[in-house]
Amino acid sequence: MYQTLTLPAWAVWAIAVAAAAFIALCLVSIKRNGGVKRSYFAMPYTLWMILFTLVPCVLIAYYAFTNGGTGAFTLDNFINFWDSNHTVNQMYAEMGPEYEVLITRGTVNIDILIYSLWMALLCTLICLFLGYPAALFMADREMRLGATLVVLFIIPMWMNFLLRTIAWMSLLEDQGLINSFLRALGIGGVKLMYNDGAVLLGMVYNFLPFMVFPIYTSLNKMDVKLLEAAQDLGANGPRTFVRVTLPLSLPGIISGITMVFMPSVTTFFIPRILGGGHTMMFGDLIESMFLTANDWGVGSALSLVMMLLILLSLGVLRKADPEGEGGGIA
Amino acid sequence: MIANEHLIDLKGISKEYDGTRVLGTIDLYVRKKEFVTLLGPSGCGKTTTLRIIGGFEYPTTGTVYFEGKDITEVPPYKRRVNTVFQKYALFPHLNVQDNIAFGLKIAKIPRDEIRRRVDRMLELVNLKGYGKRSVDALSGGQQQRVAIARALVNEPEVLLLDEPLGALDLKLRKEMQLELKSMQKRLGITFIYVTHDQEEALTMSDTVVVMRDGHILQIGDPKRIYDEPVNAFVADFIGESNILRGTMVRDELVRFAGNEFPCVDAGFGENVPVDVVVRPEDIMLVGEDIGQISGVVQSVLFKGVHYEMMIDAGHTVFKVHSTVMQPQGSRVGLTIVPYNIHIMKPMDDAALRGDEEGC
Repeated sequence: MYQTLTLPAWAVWAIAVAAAAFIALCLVSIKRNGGVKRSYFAMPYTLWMILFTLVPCVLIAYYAFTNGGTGAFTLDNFINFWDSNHTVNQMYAEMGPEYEVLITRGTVNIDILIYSLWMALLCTLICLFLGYPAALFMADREMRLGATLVVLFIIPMWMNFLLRTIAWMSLLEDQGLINSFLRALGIGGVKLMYNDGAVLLGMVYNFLPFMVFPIYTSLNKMDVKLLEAAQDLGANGPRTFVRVTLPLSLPGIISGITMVFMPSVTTFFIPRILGGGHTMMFGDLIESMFLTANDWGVGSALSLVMMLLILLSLGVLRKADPEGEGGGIA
Repeated sequence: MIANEHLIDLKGISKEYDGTRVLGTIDLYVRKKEFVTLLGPSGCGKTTTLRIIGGFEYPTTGTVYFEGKDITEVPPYKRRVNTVFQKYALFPHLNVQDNIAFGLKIAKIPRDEIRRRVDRMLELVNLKGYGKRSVDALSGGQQQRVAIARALVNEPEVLLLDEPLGALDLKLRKEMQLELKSMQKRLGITFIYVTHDQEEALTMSDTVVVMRDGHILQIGDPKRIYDEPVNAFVADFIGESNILRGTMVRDELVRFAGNEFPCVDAGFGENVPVDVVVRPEDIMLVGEDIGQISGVVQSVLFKGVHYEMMIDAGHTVFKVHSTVMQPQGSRVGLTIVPYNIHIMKPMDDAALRGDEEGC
């Protein structure tokens, strides 16, 4: 069963007017200049960006700095975020039994932020140490398995990440595949889910390709002759790696770190599924502020803090890779 | 040649990739301070030979000796050999001086000495003051000099050069040829040079090794290779030539182009088919009736120093180089002095695959 997509009449009109205006502009341009200016092709996307990226950002800023009731300027939302004894925390302690755990553990907003950063850091490091050797292996032209491995890394990415995360549940849960197997071996059930480890596993699993591919790309781009040159100049395998391969793949590493760390910090859903609500990350906190606590002010303030952190780390990484050679978003 | 004079000895070297033989069984030695050039068309095995000496390829059969010691299995980083790669292979993440210092840093040479030696090298290759530049900001010729400096700074016994001048324009290439040659003389380092440019090989080398299809055809000093090519292929590859089928009538008399010519070669037997090679600059144009044969000028091309004329002598079209132009359509006489006629056994591919030319 499906629902027909219904747009309000004004939205349909708006789209129609915008499209007509765009076509008219193109036609006028063809008539006057004999062709469409290249820059016109960017217009639909620019409009899209303004509507769905810029406007929401402005709204977030607006909600973060105003009082929800009166609409007056205030910094209360940020103060509430900082103040661990503030009613916001109390309030959402009352929201349900799963959040009571947080309050009894003394978990507050700032703790959740630190916890998120810590988990993201761990996830990034694990991805780096798993991903770099994998990328090295894939980029090795003498290994014929390399190309196969690339495909194996890509295939899971065709699937929605929520589905993949849920798939892990059936592997890890008490009656899941792994535990059944262990029981069959007589080892007995092991508690695999609802802990930090499971959350980390889910994060690493989901974000690993974002580490592997930028590194793989930068390694693949590297001239094999450079390795020969290093050997020729007296460097053995490990030294060639440290002095040539590693520095030349640095743009890929930086790009990989960016692409894993960013989504890791803002992870949500994974902690809820695999952590069972015992752990909460910043992404979940923002989500619950909007959807459960219904406090758009504090939710927006949290989002702003998040964005600021991301921009900061982007800035740091851009310093390290000024040319953006890694091909990533940094 | 006494054995201990040899710096490098290749004995019975061959190389196969996936069952395809790219290098036949070759034997070659290189003496100390010698400038040896491996010359041949692409795919002749010259680069493979160089890579085997550098340690980047292991031969399928055979042994590589360095000063009498077997180094066949020694990895490149343990060989006292440095390479100037075809496209330089400079490290893009390092500046000029760090590129040059790479080998010295690996060898854990003290910092002051590294600085001193790098500075000296920069001076040697005329790049003083370029130390801090990024290698990407250099021109082709400058990158080439950095590559040479990076190899030479390690004071190798042997410098391997894999078509190092291939990417440079003609003028720069000529300059670098002379510079490389004088550098080699001054530093007293053995050079093994790979090129497909015969002129380059003749200009720079002490010894030229002509290769084809994974085999060595001829080894000798440039003059000998040019004047006495062992077969029509070498003759053709080393400079332009008229290669004709002929018959050795008897000793010192050969028949080609519908006429008999006195020559200086002997020992082929009587009425034996042979290949005759005559360099275009060795054919003299004389008056129509005093030449050994006569012909009509088909075309004239101005080549700078000389004119290149194609002359139809009835049976054969000769390519002739002369500083005096004969107008197109005119009849001329052609004369070839006996010692400019080179007689060689007819070339057939089966003979080329033999190893008798190896040294």
